[in-house]
Amino acid sequence: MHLKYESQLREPLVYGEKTYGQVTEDILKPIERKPSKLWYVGFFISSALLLFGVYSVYRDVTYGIGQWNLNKTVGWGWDITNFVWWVGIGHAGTLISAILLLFRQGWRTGVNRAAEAMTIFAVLCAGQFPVFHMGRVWMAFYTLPLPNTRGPLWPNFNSPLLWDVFAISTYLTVSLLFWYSGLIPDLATVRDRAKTKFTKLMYGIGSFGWSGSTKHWQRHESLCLVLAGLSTPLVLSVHTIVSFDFATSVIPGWHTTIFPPYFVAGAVFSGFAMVQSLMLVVRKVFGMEDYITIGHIEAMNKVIVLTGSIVGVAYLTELFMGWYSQNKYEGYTFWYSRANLFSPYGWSYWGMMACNVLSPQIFWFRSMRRNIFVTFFMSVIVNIGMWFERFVIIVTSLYRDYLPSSWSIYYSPSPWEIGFFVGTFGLFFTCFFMFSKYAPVIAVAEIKYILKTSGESFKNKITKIETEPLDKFVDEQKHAH
Amino acid sequence: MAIKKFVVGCFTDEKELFPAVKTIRKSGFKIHDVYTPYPVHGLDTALGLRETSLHTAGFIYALIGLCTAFGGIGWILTIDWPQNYGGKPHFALPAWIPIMFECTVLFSAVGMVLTFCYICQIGPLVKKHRFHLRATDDYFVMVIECTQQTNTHDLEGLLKSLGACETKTETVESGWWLGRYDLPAPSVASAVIALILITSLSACSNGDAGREQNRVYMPDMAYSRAVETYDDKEHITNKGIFYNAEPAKGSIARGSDIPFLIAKDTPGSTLNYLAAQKIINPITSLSSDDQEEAHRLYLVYCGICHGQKYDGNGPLYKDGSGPFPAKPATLVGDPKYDAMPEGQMFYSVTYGKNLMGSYASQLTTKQRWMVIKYIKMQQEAVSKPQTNTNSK
Ligand code: HEC
Repeated sequence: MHLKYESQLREPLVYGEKTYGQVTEDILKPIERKPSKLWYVGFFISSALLLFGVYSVYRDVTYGIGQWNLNKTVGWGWDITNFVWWVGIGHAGTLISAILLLFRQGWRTGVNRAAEAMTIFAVLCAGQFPVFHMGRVWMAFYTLPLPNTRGPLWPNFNSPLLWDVFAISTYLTVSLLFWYSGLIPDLATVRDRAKTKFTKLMYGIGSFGWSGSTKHWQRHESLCLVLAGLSTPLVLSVHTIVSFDFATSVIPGWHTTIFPPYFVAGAVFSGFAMVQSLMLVVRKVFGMEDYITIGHIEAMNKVIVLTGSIVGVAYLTELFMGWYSQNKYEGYTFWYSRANLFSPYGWSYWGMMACNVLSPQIFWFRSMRRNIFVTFFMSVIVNIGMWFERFVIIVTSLYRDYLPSSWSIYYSPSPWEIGFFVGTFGLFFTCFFMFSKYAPVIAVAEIKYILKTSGESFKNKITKIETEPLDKFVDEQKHAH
Repeated sequence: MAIKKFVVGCFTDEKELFPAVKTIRKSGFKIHDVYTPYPVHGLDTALGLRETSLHTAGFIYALIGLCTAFGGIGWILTIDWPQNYGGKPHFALPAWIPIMFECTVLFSAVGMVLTFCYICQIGPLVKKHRFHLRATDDYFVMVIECTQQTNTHDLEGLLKSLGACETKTETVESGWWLGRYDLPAPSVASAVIALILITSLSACSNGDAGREQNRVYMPDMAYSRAVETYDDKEHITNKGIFYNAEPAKGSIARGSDIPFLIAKDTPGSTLNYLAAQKIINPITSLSSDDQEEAHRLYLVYCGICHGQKYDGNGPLYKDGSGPFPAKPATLVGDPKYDAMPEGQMFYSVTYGKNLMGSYASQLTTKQRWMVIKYIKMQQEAVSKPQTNTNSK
């Protein structure tokens, strides 16, 4: 039993008195050892899902998107719902790596590598949906402004759908570059510890011949800082543009000006939930409790309760405007098609409300924020809720449009529509399993960088400051300046 | 190539590294580089390195991206392909902002990363000389370049006294800092050539031979699963195609009348018959042309029983001497029928009443309502003759 005074203000970001060597040892453990049984089981399941997805997409391409249950008013269904959902999930990675870097939030180092990987895989999954929605995927290059002999025939640069093409592809490219440039020094660490010739060669190629030279580090830091600076407005722009796909239309339920901020908040919300789900598993499976601490989990839960509440305010604002505008169509969409529990899709609206707005409020309690089981459960709930949100926005606005004679009957997906979604889960987790096996899931160099300033020794320093008499502290501060 | 000699000193802590760097530089030695496992802040200034200008390059790339997007879109939408999108101006700058922004970011990021790789001379398959493998793990490796005069032994001693845990002297071929290929060039080249050969061979057409195969993959929707015009709904459903052919419940075709929503009573019940009393005739008045038409319809379809004079004594009944067994209703003059709501009459004409059959197949909804209005007008003409001007 020790009666040491513990700081209430800041807890260390890395637990335990660690040396640099130990950090390397701990984080590279999963790479240098044979994967566990659990890893094989997970990998097998996710590749099976992926294969099913490939088959669903094969059917879709062969027979056309008549394979899906889209109908005359619900022309966007699960496909676009899933697209927006995956893109949203991607946002947390960039937020953690870019915005928190600019805000100098030290806690990001524990989770940024995995979160960025998650971003890339999620955007990869998201991209599938609009592409295969085109029906004739081999014509997908028509969306690119390539010099051509078709006319001249160019894409319409004034269309939000084309903005989307640019936004998503830029986002994927920049995230990939950002992630990989951070990965280079860590891959070099793996290379220099490699035992076999083959691993040496592979990591040698992957690490670009990184040596850790001071000049290179200086440039590397500058590169990462500028990429973070670029990614910050980029991540905001991407979901803003995704929301433009809806907001620039004249469909009641879509045609609202609050969409951009509301979509961005929702994206961060679902993204953090996904990071939580993944990190809780990673820290358990790979034994990284010292690096992904309860403090990290709590910090992310704070973001979740904040963004969840922003999203809640947006929902209520929409409802209010549906009434206040006295626009019949808006009122019908918001109050009848959505908020009315007994309307055909009322269940999805209230499912969304329960998962996104009500349930995250339990994170106002510190004990809940720091409870791993609650956090994991909530992270799944939030992602279900955010999926519902996109479904509500898309389907409830479409299935009863301006012309009642074309109102469609109840839209429910076909097995191939579901199969496609399931397949992207397969893709996502297959990628994530590969990543967790072959690359350091935590940024080794960055942990070493904060080790001395935010590790256990930092805790001792803070403790010293907090226990010394106030006059002395003030005195010291005065002399320091 | 020239061979150079280096003295290497490894440190385990930043706290020892910084004073060591200071002392070594003061003593007049040339520090070639310090290899560290993470970016050590202040080390670049301690080594006398100047600020990097990589971010300036990033800014320039960003400007290039912005100009490319603006120039490209501007040229395409105003000169090469001036399309009319909903009457909006060709030069629609606000709508171009999203793509201009994305291109700015894209060019800057890609350009900076490529520049970074170039100036650091790093890339896939590049291998650099490493003085100590633990430089990427937990050592801070200081490398000092020796001249002819340097006494390596003394220097190593100095480093040890400054806290270095490990020292050594190494000779390295100069020019290596540009890196060299990790794989021998011939094997890379042969791999590339083999790849090109395989792709070009597989792309070669073997004339019409390939066309005879009756195996088709990805047939570009050659076999249509599209719904044929007037295809039977059940047939489509059986083919496993979802096709929503039905109009929404309660929808009315353009130009048609509001449907009569009351169903026929089940035998023995009069529930719907009574409910029909509440239905109002959508036709509130008849023009003289309409009256003529209603009169004609009445004579064709009803008069044979109900009589020309609406007295229920048409040729088919003729006071019981006709072939019809039951007395048709006296439509005018009988208080029961004078008081009967139009909706209820409509019900009887639509579904039939005892011995009177249904007229729904002979008369359209509108015609039925017209005839009923007409009968009502005759009833009124008799009960209030002073207001009657149109009776026939
Ligand atoms: C084949 C003979 C026949 C013809 C033709 C005929 N009816 Fe009748 N109608 C009857 C008989 C019989 C009754 C009395 C039924 C009863 O109450 O039992 C009757 C009753 C009615 C009633 C009163 C129904 C009630 O609810 O009590 C109305 C109104 C009426 N007829 C309208 C018409 C109109 C309008 C037409 C022309 C479209 C028409 N009928 C044609 C035989 C006929």
